[in-house]
Amino acid sequence: MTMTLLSVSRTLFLAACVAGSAACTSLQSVSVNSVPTNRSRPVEATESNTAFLGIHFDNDFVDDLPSQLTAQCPGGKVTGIFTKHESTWYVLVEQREVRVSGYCVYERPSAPKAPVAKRASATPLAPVTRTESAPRESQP
Amino acid sequence: MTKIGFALLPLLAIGCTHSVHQVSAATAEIPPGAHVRKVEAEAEQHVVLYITDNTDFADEAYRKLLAQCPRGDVVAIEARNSTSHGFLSFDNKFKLTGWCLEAGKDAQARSDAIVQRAAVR
Amino acid sequence: MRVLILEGLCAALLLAGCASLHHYQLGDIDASRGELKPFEIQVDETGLDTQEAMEVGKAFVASDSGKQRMGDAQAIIALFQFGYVTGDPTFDDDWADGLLAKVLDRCPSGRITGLSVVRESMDYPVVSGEIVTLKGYCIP
Repeated sequence: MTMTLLSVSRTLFLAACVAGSAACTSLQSVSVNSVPTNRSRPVEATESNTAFLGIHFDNDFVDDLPSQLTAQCPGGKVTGIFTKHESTWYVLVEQREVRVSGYCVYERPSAPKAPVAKRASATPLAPVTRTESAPRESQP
Repeated sequence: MTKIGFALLPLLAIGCTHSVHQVSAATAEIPPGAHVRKVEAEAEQHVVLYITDNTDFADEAYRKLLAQCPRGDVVAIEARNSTSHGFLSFDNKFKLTGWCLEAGKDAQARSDAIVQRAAVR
Repeated sequence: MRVLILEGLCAALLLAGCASLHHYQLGDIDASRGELKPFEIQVDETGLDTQEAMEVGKAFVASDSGKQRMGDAQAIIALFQFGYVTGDPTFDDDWADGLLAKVLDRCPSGRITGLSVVRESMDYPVVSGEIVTLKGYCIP
């Protein structure tokens, strides 16, 4: 009965994967970076790599991703990058896919460099309340 | 009947299991005394017999997190990728926790309102 | 005497554990803004390999019918623990939450650099330690 149950579960798994060109997709890894306020220009790049029996000989398919992102953001800064690495099995073939998305931010043109004496009297861009006793987290 | 009971007894004793695959963390400078608000988002995907063709649950959680902080930077983001096991199926979960760093008087007002509501409760 | 030494070695190997690295992440390191104060935060949870536990249980059962029943239980438990596993399964999934909040408590200045996140397992017979470690530097 033990072998029957195990073989049934294995058969179910294989049949489910094969039937109707079913796929088994899993999330391998993910990374998230700090996201900027200005999200008006999203950028995205995806690269994938397919191999029979999941035997891959190199991982070079990810090398072009940074350049694809910077190409969508000329002269700007790509920030708030979210990366996702997923793997999909189609019976005997494995497809690896890496998706990278972020936001293109163009910072304000830098002000002309001022002498050191004038910098001290410069008005700060945004006031930040600095109270040491204020709680870091505001609970709802 | 005893055979079925014997087979099910360890299952009842064990309970549901989970597996944390990965924890990712990204930091950014949070100036002391700056007004920050904790934001959280979670999404899950129910998968039967391993059949699924996407991992959109991660994107959904990410979108939910950003939607909670439309006028600020989301910093110090922590991401957890886990799976909760079940009978011939499982739930993929993606949980994101971050801090919404807003600047200006609006942020002060929102932060004070949140603190006041917490005090009333 | 040789048997005793062999048994001792086996016991030592069993108790020593086997370390597995599942994921490693490292952020940028900025040593240009002052003294770096290292910090470390580690959380862990006990994982249970039920299949291995049932195999060990079978070894203590003399009768064939008992072994068969344990095999049936093993197969049924396997059907209820469907899904991807990293390390061994645990009984809750929030044991690794709230790590960055702990980091911010350790580093009141909020300036963190060189943050590394390690997801690892220490495997022992039947049980394992599922561990997440955050290390980094605080710039005071």
